[in-house]
Amino acid sequence: MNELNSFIKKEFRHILRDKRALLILFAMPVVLVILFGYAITNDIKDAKIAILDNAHDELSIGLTNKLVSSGYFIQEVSLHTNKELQEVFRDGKIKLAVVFPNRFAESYYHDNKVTIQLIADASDLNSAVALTNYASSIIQDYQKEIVKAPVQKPLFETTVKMLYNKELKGVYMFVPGVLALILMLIACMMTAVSLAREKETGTMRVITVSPLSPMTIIIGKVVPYLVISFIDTLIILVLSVFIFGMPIKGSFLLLFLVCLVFLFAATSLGIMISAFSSTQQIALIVSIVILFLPTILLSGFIYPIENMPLALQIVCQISPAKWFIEAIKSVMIKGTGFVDVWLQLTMLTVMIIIFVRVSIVRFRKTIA
Amino acid sequence: MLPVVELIVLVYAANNDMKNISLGIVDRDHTTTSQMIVNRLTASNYFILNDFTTSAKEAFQNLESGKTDIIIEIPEAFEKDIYNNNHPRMAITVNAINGTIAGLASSYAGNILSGYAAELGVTLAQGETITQRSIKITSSNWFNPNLDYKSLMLPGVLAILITIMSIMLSALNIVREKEMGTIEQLNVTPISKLQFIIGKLFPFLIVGIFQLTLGLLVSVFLYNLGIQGSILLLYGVVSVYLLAVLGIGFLISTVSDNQVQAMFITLFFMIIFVLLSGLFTSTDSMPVWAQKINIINPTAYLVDIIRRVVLKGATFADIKSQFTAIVILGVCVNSLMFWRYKKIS
Amino acid sequence: MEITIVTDNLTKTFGAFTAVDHISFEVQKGEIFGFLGANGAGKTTAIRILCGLLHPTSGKAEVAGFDVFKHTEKIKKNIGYMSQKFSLYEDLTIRENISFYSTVYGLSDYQIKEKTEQLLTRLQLHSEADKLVHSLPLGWKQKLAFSLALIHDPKIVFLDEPTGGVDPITRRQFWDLIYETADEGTTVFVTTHYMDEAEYCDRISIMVDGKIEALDTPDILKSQFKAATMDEVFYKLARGTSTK
Repeated sequence: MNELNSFIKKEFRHILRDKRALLILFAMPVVLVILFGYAITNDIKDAKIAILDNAHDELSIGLTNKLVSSGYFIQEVSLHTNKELQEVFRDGKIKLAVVFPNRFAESYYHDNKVTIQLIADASDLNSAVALTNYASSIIQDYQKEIVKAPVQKPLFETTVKMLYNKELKGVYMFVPGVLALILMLIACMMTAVSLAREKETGTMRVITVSPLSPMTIIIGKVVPYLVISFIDTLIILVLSVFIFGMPIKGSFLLLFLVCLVFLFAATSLGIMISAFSSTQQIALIVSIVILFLPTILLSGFIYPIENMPLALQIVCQISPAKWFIEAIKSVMIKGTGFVDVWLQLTMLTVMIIIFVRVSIVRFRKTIA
Repeated sequence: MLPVVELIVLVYAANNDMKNISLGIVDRDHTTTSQMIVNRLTASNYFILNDFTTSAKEAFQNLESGKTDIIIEIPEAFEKDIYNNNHPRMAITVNAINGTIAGLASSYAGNILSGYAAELGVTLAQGETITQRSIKITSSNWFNPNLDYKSLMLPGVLAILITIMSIMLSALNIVREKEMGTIEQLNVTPISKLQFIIGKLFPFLIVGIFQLTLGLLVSVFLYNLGIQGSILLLYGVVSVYLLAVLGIGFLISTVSDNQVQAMFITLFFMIIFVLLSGLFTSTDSMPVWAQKINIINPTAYLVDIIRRVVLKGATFADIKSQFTAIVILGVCVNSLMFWRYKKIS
Repeated sequence: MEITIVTDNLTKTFGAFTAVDHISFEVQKGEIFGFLGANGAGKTTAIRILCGLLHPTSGKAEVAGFDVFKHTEKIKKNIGYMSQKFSLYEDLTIRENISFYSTVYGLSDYQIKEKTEQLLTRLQLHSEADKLVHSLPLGWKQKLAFSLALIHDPKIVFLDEPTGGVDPITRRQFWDLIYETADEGTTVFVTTHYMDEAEYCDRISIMVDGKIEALDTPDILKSQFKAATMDEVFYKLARGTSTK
């Protein structure tokens, strides 16, 4: 026990001695969370559109006004020819164009049928799909308005209830994601690099020749970084609650448990990475390459996992961030209890066991 | 090798297409009408029926556990109420944690249902001619007509992987020599500072170009990505971009005391560069100040340029302003780096 | 004399490659035993086995009276180890390094205090005790690392190229420390690349391709190989195998 204490104390000394690294460690989450809490969203607001109005009649002008007043769109340019259309798109100024045909109103009232064309710049797919959808629904609304016929009550109606997130706020999606990304990188990389440094400087050799058991070494390495990243967790949680209005509906205890288990998984992953790298540089590069993009893409942070091909969905299962994001959303937003996150916690625990086992086996082999 | 594997795998991950929304139905009516409604919803391609029950409680449990994303409840005596003109109500409940998806899912469902209601109305009116006027909406997606996420993500993920590798290697480079003490040895040699820095930049530039080539080969042969614009232009842009990014990396390297600091500073900028680059979420959705940050974000320019060149076939004239921005950024960071480096040695 | 290290046909194979090939030798208490050989001759593997880090494939070995198969943990408590890299934490102070390594070897708080005082006095580092190791000159780092390897009064200390990159005067001073330690009864097991250093050892063994090709005092080896210096002995042995 005394050995372990001393090891942990030593590790904290390393951390606290490097004041600049410490500053970055605590400032980084703050800046990033604030930045991304506001910036990362797929909400459509003030999207720039072009109108090619070949009709200039009451209906086309009415609809244009309706589109612009919706708050989603800003009319950037009015076009007159199809050729101009090509140009503005190539230019990249606008993401959506609405094309009204000749004699728009006339066709509508006399032929009872008219076609309006929406052209989206699908080189930015995320917004292309969303813009087309928003524009379509505005056009449909407009159509209902201009049907002057006596409003017949529909045969049946629907009421929509948005659960957990009435205002459809983007932060509900992104706070858990950014939390997972930052913690994963900090906890995992710090641990990986600190062990790799001992290998590089040769202190690892002395430690392994000493009577310290591999388990003591691993726990001694995990605990300090667990503590540091847990402080980061608290900072991020406080920010997300007070600045972004994230709710914490579930119990604090469960929330902390989920975070701790995840951090444990991240630090033990760091240990495993360092077990396979001989220098700090390798440890850092490997951590970033296997963590950075996969944590963004394969965790359900930005892209829903259900939309992925089956093979990739299976790959997602081994991403600790995926389970963490699920659990944290359940506890914070849905307010579920332990029974609803036991699967996530179990999966993370299984990962911890695997990471630690593999590391110990690997340590025995290589450092010896 | 790992980055290539990532390129191959990760392009599949990005898909915001609204298909396969997991649907739960609570049918307490059990009539042909309720059956028709279910058919309409599942025939739409948007929804997959994952839960069919008569118990609202069970349905909610499934929504809570994440098995379903949306529940539609058909009340008891629904059909009867329609024919008796009681105007029954159907409840749609959506898991709205992902606001964007929730909004779209509920509007899809709402449209399908109201469409069905209108149709039913016509059938019931029997012969009474109602003129149905309609505005038909046709939508077309230029530059990527099949809404293919892969061809969109490929160039973007490629750009980001090149960025990550270059900035990391360069950021660790000088600080590593500082830590090991070998930098002193280099400083006493007659190599001038400028030569030294160019000597450092060049190998990494070659590595970056090599990665680009590898990535493009994978994209073209494995994914049949058609490159609309000039490949030469692409290489030119990436080279200049790499010089800028390597400059940032070396600058970080010269201001850091050790590899850990260098890495965390790099990470900080990398996260910002990548998440604001517009690859994963559209830059248009970002607030104005975030778009302002993108003025000094080389990755945002690169993602933009690569998309234009690869997908839209843009020429140099089309991307001139973005290109100039990268050049200015590159010149700035590299001179800053040079100045810093002179000071430390 | 008491024997502290004994090996009997000790062998270690990695697949088809035999790194250590039936080596047998004994080392006595208080002896300075030089363990020489070119890179890749199997030195490192042999040391790892003796430190209890690696199990041998066959043969026997006892270190400080403990079997390298069964009692590796006990071996670890009774040996000290120092490598070329000095294995100090550069971002910790001297005092912090001392206290860390002491607890690693299970010393009590009281012992740590006592040892720290002793060590600082002997190395005349009192005024520097709270400075970072980073700021120490190389020679001092080396002495500190050596003292730390001895902090738990081990029966044997393994020195793995302890004088790499140090100037001749410092090296000379360092060997004085080694003699002192040996005189106090600690066995010193040392590897080195410097052939002049080999002459300081009581006995030396020279490993070539996993086998011990020569083992005796420096003087006897020199006359046996009709060489004026150990350097010559070494080259004769190495050449002998390359033409074989």
